[in-house]
Amino acid sequence: MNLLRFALDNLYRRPARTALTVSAISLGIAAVVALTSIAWGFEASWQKANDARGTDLIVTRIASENTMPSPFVAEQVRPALSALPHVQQVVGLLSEMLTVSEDAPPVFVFGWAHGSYLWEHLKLKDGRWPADDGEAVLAIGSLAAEMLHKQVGDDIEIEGRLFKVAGIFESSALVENGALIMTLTQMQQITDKPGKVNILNIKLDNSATDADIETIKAQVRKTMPGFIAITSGELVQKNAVVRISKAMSNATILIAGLVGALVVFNTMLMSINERTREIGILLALGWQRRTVIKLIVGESVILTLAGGAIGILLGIAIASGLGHLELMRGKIDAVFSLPFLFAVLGLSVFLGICGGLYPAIKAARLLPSQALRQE
Amino acid sequence: MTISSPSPQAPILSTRNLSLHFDEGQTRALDGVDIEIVEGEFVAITGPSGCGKSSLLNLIGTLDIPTSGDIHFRSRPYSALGDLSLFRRENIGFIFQSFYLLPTLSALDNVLVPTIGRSGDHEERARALLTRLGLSNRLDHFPGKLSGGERQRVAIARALINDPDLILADEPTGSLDSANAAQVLDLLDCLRREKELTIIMVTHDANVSARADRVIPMRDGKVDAEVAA
Repeated sequence: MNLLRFALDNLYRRPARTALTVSAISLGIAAVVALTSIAWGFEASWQKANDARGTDLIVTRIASENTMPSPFVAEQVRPALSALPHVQQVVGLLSEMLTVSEDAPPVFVFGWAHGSYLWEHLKLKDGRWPADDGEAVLAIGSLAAEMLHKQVGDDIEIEGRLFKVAGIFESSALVENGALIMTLTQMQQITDKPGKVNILNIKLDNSATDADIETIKAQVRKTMPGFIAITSGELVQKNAVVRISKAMSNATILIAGLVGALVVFNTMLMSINERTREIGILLALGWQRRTVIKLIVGESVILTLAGGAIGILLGIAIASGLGHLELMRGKIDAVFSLPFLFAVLGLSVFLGICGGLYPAIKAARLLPSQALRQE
Repeated sequence: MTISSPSPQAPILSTRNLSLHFDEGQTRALDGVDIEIVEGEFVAITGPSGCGKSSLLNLIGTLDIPTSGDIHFRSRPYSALGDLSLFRRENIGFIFQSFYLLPTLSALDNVLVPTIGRSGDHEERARALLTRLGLSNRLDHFPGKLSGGERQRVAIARALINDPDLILADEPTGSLDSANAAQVLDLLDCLRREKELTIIMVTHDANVSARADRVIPMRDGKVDAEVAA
């Protein structure tokens, strides 16, 4: 007979309360795990797409906070950018989320400058790439093809115009696999944004160093008012959806933490009130106050550890499951980091210690004679 | 914090002007009690309900704090003992009228409860104690499956598990029929001789107090000097 077995026995003999507490904690932890992994996955997916394209710097409007930066006329800055040292290519990109089928959720549609390096990282699975700027054809990601039930040669209507599926491709980035890509000129036409792009992708030559990148950034800021040159990672950090999802996951961590601590606090306080006489017996039998505190905090930690472990598994299941929902396919690619999951488990145990400490001290302060008199 | 005995006839316990008041002195559960208990003695504290006998036992057992006065255990005042729970664990064994066994633990585990947090393996000793008390075939039984007499014997084993010198028994036969009550009293008397225990027992039953070496009668929170004389 040891303290751990005694604590487990105490929880075992109140199965309903133990189950409810563990459920409440696990739901909170599951929300934390699911939201955070989705937020990270969203960020990672955009980062991966930008990295895969081989873009070294991105030029965008300085104040833009949208999911995709606000469009601007490319020729405003393209000539000046092309003239900067080490700049090999300056390629426009226009993107929007559009509904292309009544049966499927909206998808990302990208317009990429024809013949630019942006196309090079994609792996063509079937068909061909658009032949030129004037051709009304699309290349669609393998996931988008599956979601929209489209094959090479099929038609897709976008903004009242028919496009033929010329090719189906595979990308290492989920966001591109679920997207439709046409030439930039076609995209500018259907969205009524002639000459406009959301971003300009800059590819530098191989001799460019980090210092050269910093020089280009400084020159853009100095010579092109209203524009900024940033790396793809910095663009992702600027992305409003990434920022909102991160803020939401942080808020969830805070709320789940508070609710979890209150649930444990309430459970342990109720348990102590019900067991006052039992605590009196333990004190009368010579239990030291610190042993009583260890018992109650130990019970809270067991509850939160169980709730945390179940919550983590539930959170992983929810985040993974959401990615398979028709509405979310191609948009969610949750990232589960082992250190984060351990940190969540640590947070859970921390809640147990916080929630159990006051009831434990309250119980340990009881005079044994008072506790024994309780009904 | 085991306090060793100086000599067999020396007082193991004495109280000096011991008082316990409630409601800012309006209620006087104990009012200036002076008693002395010798090593190995079997003492019964008797008196009507509300006379303060259980309050006195609680103070002796360090379950409550006196309003004034002090208690000495082998000449050391309680006020100088420091950690009273440690003192209680190592020197005092409690037996209660309602047994106070934990319902979800087996007889064996109930006996082991006072050893939780102490180093060493106490299970063999618990088994031996229960066997000595005639419960060798009840080790794995839960309190709900034991008779009243058996439950009190488990409680006695629990009181003895830490090898105390002083047993405090509050109406130990109060919940038992006469046959079981006699058996428990025989057992306590036997164990006292066997283990050289000092027993202080609270009872309002004259038949029970008759088994003690000495009776301390109480009335209105004081030792009843007339009866004691």
